[in-house]
Amino acid sequence: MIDVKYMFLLSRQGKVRLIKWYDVFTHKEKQRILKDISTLVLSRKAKMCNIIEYNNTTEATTTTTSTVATSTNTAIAATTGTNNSGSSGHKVIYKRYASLFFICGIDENSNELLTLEMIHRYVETLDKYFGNVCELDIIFNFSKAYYVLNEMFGCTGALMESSKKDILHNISLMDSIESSDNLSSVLS
Amino acid sequence: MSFSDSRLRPFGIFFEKSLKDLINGIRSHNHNAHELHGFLTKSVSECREEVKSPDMTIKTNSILKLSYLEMYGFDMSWADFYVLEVMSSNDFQQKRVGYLAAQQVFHEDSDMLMLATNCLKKDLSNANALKVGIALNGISSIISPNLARDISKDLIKMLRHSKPYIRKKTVASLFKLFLQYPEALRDDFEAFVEKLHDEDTSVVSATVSVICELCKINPQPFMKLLPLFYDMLIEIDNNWIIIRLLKLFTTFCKQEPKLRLKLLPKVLNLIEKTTATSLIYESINCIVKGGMLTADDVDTAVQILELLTKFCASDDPNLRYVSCVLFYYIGKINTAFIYSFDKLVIELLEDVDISIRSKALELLEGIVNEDNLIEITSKLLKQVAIEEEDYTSTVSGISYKITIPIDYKIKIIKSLLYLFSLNDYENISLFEWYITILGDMCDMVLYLKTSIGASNNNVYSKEISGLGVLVGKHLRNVAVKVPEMRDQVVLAIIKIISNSNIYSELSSILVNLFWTLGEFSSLIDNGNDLIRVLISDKEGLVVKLSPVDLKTLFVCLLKVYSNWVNASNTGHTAERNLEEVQKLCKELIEFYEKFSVSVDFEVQERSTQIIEFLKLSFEALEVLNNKGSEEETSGEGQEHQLPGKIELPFLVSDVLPGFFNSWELVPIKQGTQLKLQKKMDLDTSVPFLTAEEIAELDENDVENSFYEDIDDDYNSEVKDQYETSDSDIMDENPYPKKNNKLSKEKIDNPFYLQDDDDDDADGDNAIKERDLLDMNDNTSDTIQTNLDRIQKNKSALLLDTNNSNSGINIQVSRPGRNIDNVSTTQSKKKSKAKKKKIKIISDSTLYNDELEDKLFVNTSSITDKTHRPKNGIDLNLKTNLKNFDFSKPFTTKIGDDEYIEEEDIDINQLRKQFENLKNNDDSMNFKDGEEEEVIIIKKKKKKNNNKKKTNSGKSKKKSKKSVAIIDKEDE
Repeated sequence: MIDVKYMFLLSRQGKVRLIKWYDVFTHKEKQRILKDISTLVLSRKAKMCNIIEYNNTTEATTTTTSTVATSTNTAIAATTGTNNSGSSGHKVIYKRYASLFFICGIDENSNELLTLEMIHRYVETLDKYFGNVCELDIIFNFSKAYYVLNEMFGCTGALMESSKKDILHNISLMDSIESSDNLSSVLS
Repeated sequence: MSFSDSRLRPFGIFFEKSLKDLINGIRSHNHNAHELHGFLTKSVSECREEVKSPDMTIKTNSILKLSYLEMYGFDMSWADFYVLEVMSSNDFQQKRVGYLAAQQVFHEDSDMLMLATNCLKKDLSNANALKVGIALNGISSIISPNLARDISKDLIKMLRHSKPYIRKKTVASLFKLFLQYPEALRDDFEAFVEKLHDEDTSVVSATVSVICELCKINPQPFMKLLPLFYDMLIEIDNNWIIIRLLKLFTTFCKQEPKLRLKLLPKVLNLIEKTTATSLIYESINCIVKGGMLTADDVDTAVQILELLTKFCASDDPNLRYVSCVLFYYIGKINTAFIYSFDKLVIELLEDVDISIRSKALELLEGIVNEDNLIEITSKLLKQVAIEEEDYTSTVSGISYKITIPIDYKIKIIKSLLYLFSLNDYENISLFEWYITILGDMCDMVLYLKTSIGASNNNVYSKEISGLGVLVGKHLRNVAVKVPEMRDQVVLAIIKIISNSNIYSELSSILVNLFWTLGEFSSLIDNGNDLIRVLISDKEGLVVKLSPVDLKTLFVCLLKVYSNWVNASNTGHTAERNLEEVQKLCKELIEFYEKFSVSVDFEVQERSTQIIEFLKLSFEALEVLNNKGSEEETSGEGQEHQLPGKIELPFLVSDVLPGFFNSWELVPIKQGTQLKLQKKMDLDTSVPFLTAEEIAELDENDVENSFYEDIDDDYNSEVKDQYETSDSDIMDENPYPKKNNKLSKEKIDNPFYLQDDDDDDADGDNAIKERDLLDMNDNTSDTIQTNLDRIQKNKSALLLDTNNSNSGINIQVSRPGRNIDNVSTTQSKKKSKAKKKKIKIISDSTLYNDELEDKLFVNTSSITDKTHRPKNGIDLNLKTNLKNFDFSKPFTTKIGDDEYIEEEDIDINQLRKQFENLKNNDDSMNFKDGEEEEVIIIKKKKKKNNNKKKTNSGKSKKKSKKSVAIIDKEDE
């Protein structure tokens, strides 16, 4: 169910507020994705669509130069177009809510529109949970935001529970256990 | 201690405060990066201490802080043991934090997983559903093959848990388990698939999701459930699940094309019924990507494309974007489908969103034709030329400024160049226009280069010099492939290279330009001026060129010189007197001498070679010159010499052109030469010439040994022959003799690349035939201006040598062309008729069978997943599910305790088998008689040996057979 490969929340200043990897990446890959996609997303203009095709840019440039390097000789050959250079990569779906970007990396065949809906649903759930959520809520209660995320997407990156009510119910149950645990530890 | 601590911090107050402290600290140190980094590293080292604390609260707290710091890029894998400690805490809050951290920290290969197994098993059997829930969450992110094997039974049992919450989470975590341990899917297939009928929709949804994703990796085991899925698609009205099912069918359709007939009407029906755009989009996606849209299914295509057109008109950029992408895929199925949507695509080229424009660029290939190419080009080139575009929304009337990014501009130029050259210039109706555009592009690329020059952007500078090469190649190609346009191209090139910025900023374009210039320099009348411009090198730019450029330039200059000296059919004899020839030769020698000490050995070598030859020529010229002046004084020469027929030394008049003019070069399809080498049976033993021929050759050599001839009156016989025909002369002279050999080879060798028959002979005729009047049916302003420009150029091309203010007038001969008529009469003829008039030499190939699908060839290879970048991030799942063989027998009944026992046996056997496979190589290392386990190993060994024996037996048999066959053959 590597539908969503990773998801992270990015502030407008480029600070990561929440990050969740649903697929296996090495530390290096993670850093590179974070860096590349942050710059990509932050440079987008308001009127642009929320879908970016992420190709590993360094790779793209090397291929173009290699095509250039070959056949500089006088051998006459029709240059077939180097059009549409490389798109091996994945799609990045992002959506901005107030000062936060919600960013998802998805498989090439995944449904972009659906992913946007999923992001929206997550934001709605957070909004319900915190009550008019703002960036600070997520910063200071990042673990709670994670819990909501886990309830919603499972650990596999596919929307597992579409009902906001159910999610919130489960989270509040967990929270109540937590506080009762605290209470019992005080009483003991 | 711990008791009093918790007394002091009831309700986790300390906990809250501490994370808050960290976050507040980060926020207050946010002013500069250095300060922040200091604070963060300090915090991490604090956590390192705290995490060792025996107090679980402090430990948990530090783990939480560490997982927060992880978002700042700090590695926390060193803390895995502490995470495990927190995970196994009985306190719910701590457990939750522990699992959260575990998901971030643990990896498949982590040693901690061994220890974590127990903890997980314990949590899974917990009475509290929520605790089980977080454990399940944890499992799916940290599972390893070993762990998967250990807990698979537990999870399968939990599929029948009373709470849907647990069932749902179990299904989700089973996905990861199946990836690591496919045996579980095979053995408990039914138990898992049962969940498709679960009373709780979220469980069904999760199951469909899991199956959908599993199918992406290996659809085989689920193929038999097709009818079930089909029923579900009809019955279920939950859009989330329907979308998943559609995804599933997309995968199935690729496997089983027959599905199309049954499924397509259903999906189309779905599109009609629903209003949810994401569902419509997914349905179309399913049809297109699942291969349900066949190339001849026009009805479906029309229906889909109508929807997409609606999407394209929507306000939502995302919809426009995704439909653009779908257009592309549909175009890949059959270009004819999208051909009529050219208006739409051209509109999309001016979308607010650059990324949509960029997608639309990819569509151009499908919609381009000779009527809209000019419009497309002018629209796109406008975008290249500006930094910011004023965009006024057609709906709201508000205008924005859109900055046009450089990578988009690069893409524009690349796409345009590609469009131009499609199918041998199929879409180009007016080559003058094309060449002008290439010239403009050159200016634009130069402009792009200078514009990024200030901002040290190395990523793009490479790409832009790549563009330079491309533009150069296109100019070269058009010159080679369209003989009638050569003079135009040469004009354009002269214009380009007279801009001194080219040398410093965009030298990558020069190689091809120099070559073209040299090759077609016979079209230049005053080559002497051109040479002087090139070698004068006022700004010292030429000297700085790269060795590759220089090498090409050297030969180019020699070709220009050769052609200028020997041109005899134009009326510029006044300039072309002997003295001028000699003077220029001297100047050339001086130029080449600059490079005779070059660091690059090839530049040095070539320049020296050319110098030596030129020196010989110079001497020969001098001799002739002296003689000529004698004649002049005697008063006879003037009358004797006809205009344009100065007699030149043989070295200059024959040997020099002999270097270059042997063959007209023809375009060859890329890679053809390579194939040629493979196919050709090269006979190196038979001499080219027979003894008689060599003798004959020697005789000829004596006859016109040209060193002697130079002093004598020029051998008129030879000269006559030279004038009458190009090929005949080759028999007479030692240099062309070689060419003759070549021509023989050409005849003998069937693979020799044949020149187009009428290439040389008809060249002039074709140009005369060519009717420019017909060409010009497009009256748009741009064309008019272009034509005007051409016309101006024609009469006297005033070279705009920007800085070098030399203002040389280089004239290009244009045989039989009457351009004056162009603007006066404009007849409109069918484009097809006019196209035939221009001869385009298409690429020569060896065989017809290598016709590739030119259209979308590049793009299709892109989607091919095997072409992954080396250093790119591999997003492929690391799983052995893909290659797992599900065909092995498995028991289908589930439910009895007996069965489980049975299954355990099965599993044991399986394990043995798998270990068997693993240890296949190691098994030889085992010694006999150690313990019980060893016995098993021994058994395996036997099995292996048996297998091997049978294998070797088979191979022996085979080899025997083959021996037998050989024997038979021998008989």
